[in-house]
Amino acid sequence: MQLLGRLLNCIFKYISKLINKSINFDNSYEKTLKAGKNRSLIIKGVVWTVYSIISLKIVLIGGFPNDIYTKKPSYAPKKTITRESIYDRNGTLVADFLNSDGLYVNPKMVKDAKLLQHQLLEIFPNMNPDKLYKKLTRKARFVWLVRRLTPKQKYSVNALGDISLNFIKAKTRIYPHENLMSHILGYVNVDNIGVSGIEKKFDKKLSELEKPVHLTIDARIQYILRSEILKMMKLTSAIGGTGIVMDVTNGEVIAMTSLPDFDPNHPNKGRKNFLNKATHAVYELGSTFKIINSAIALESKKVSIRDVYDATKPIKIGKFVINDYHAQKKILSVPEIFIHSSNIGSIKMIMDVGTKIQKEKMQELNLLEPLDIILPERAKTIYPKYWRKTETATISYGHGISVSPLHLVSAIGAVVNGGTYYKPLFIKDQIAEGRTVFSSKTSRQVRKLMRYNTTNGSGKLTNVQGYLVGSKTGTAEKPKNGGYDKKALISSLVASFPMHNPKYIVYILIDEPQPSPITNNLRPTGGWVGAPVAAKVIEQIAPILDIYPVDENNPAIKRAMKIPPPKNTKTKINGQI
Amino acid sequence: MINMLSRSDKSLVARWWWSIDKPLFKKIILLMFVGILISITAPNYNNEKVVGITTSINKKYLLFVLLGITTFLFFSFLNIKWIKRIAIFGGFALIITLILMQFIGIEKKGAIRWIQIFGFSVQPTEFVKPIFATFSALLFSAQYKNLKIPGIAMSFGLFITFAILFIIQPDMGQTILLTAIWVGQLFVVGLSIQGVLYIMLLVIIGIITAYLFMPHFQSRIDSWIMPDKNDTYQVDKSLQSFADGGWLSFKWGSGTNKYKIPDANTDFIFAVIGEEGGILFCILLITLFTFIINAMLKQVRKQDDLFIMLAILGIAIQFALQTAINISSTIGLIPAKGMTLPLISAGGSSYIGISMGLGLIIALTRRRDIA
Repeated sequence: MQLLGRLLNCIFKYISKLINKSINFDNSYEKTLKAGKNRSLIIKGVVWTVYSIISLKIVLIGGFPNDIYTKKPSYAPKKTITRESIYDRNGTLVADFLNSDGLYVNPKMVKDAKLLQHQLLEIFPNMNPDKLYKKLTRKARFVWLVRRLTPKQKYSVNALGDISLNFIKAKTRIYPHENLMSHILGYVNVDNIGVSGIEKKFDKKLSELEKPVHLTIDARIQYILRSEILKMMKLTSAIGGTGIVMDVTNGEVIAMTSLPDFDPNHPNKGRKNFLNKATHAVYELGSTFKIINSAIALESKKVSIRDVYDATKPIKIGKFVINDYHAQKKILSVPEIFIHSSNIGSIKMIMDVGTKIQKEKMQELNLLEPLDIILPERAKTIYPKYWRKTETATISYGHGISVSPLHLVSAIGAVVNGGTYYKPLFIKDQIAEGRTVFSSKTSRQVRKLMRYNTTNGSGKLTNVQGYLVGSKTGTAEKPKNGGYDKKALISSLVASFPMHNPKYIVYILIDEPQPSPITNNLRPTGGWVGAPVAAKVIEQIAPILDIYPVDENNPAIKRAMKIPPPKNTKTKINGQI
Repeated sequence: MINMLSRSDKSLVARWWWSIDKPLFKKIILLMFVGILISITAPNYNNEKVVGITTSINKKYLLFVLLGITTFLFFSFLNIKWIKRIAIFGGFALIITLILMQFIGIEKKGAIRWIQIFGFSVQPTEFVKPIFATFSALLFSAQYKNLKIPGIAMSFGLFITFAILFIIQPDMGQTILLTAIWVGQLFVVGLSIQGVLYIMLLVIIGIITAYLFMPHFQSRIDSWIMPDKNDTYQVDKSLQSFADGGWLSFKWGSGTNKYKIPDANTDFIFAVIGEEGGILFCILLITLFTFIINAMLKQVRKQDDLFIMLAILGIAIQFALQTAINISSTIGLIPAKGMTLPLISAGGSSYIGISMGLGLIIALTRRRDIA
């Protein structure tokens, strides 16, 4: 402490000495006074210089707006953001951009909060009175009350004449159909910037280039698909559902829904439903893959539609024993394998074809690649890294590979349309570029199988008189703790119509349906919960889509749908691989 | 007023009236008047939709203005003896207040600069500046009147005490003002060129030290040197405001940038004036400030008493530099520095502090032959 005191004393003395040296003490009081007056003139000069520079700079900033000071982009006035509309394939408006005022309160200006609360509740009956009162009395100058006012509400608020209430002019994206196309359209954030779906993909086109977007979606069909799936979800207490309607002749998606969905007008309320389960989620979709399996087998020419396989005994693959759900315990022909959805038969068929061809065809059908669509929500498939006999066997009946519903639908489209794969399209008037994957003969034969499944197999409930519906059901258990959960099902159904010249695919997936009266309290399989939905959808949409009913007893159609009798007996594979 | 008071009248008010520097007094009153007009139209705490002036005047501000004018008039009546007493007493009282403030003060935006008195937040720093200028002038003149008193060294001690108390708040802007007052007085009493160079060196070292050790100060300098890489929202909006105003503007009360500029009614009020009054009005206002400073400096040269001369000079330097720093910050000429525009910015302590300084100047410049 003493040392510090000395040190400070020393510094103080040194500074005093320095100052005394710097100032001329020889000057008397009068001389100092005189010198001071002269020196104050220097200070005056400095003041005048500084103030002149300041004035000059002000003139430069404000007087010459083209000067570099105002060219800086950060305070250049921003262009008002516009956003063009989105239409469906028939020109129905599905996303609009409107002026809408927001309402805020300046609580500092509120005179009588109780009265104002009462007045506002008359205009906005849905408001929570307590929360509103808190907003009106908060210590702030700006509190949002309503983000979007209707013109009528604005008029009523204006009529109150309360000085504490103010409007902010804003432009808002409006989706007149609310939830109808939520996952396709996506939504925009508060700054009107696209966050998901079409809004994100075409953000620049809609806002900067100001060009509208026309979708391939048909709002009417979308409505039918969505409401029919919702009904089935309710009847079976399911947690979700997915549906797709696709034009198989060019890949255009006519309708697509993922339920539960959200209202893009209020995206924050539907946060937990943002996942697009049609394009962004992958599942082991199960037996619907047997359509692809049959097509691959028939295309390879190593399996004929007239072949028969021994399905009497379960197959042992490694540690696992694979059995049939609808076990027939007999020798099955290829069409019988299809309609009884025999896993044993499917494995034996693909074993005759081999892993290499199976993988090649899967690749050509885009089942191993990420979904090739314009929507930003694209699923990546999950398939085995080491693809050998075991994997080939399970993939034949739709297990051990996870794809999105839209992956499967576009692949099946290639099977039924004569063999051409088209990637799914969402934008109208795009040129569809296809690639041939199957021969037209294979396609014709699989179409017979699908029709046979509707008339004699698991898809009986899909039949709609006159529209020659072909189908395949799929009931998969959800993976759980390394095994499968027998209670949590993915029950799905693929239908296509009309089978003599397929035009559309309807895909229905019900997520975790429960046994209920509509399934006769039986296991809610694809045949029970998917098929009736598909039938109702086809019944309603076929007339809209200009598909005319045909006479199913017409000899030409009967010939086209005829299943050839079995010929060969292949029993060489006897349960051991 | 002029006709009411006859030269032969020997009352207190009459003697006061005939002895003061009337041109300076009138200019100060004019500036106060302009300040009140701007305070009615410019600040953003008034809702623009309120009709009628009576509801839109901030009552608190009106109180400050009344207190400020009272302070101004009260100090302008003081005689030299009382000024000296107030300087000495006030100087010590403020040192104690500033030390106490470290314990009982209010922290706002990371700085302890305010104490609570009768429900008002008072910033003692604002009163330090005129008191320090007077006290320091007294010490300086003591050295020359009686060489046995180490007046300059004592005044240096006073300066360092206040400077330390300012830096620990921290308040770099006021420290700069305080330094300018003291160095200005030192310069006028005959600091050699060598001394000027020494002090300039010290100031540069001080700025570098502050830059290195005070992150707040550092970010201000950074955003001034490299506006592209830093957040310059406040200054950008301020510049935009001048550009929106143009040469001639008559948008009193209806400017829009004040809702976007933080501190639009205090540190950045000049930007609001720029938008609502236009460039020509800004230049006129700056001219008024310059005339007031000029009149003060003119008085400096008239005085025959070293104490009076240095006291006027100190207060004039404070007034001139504070105005210059405020306006320069607003127009992006220097890094943004929180400082009020004398008699125009909202802020009670600042208004009353400035009024006190100006009152002292009027009192100091009274003609002794009449008074």
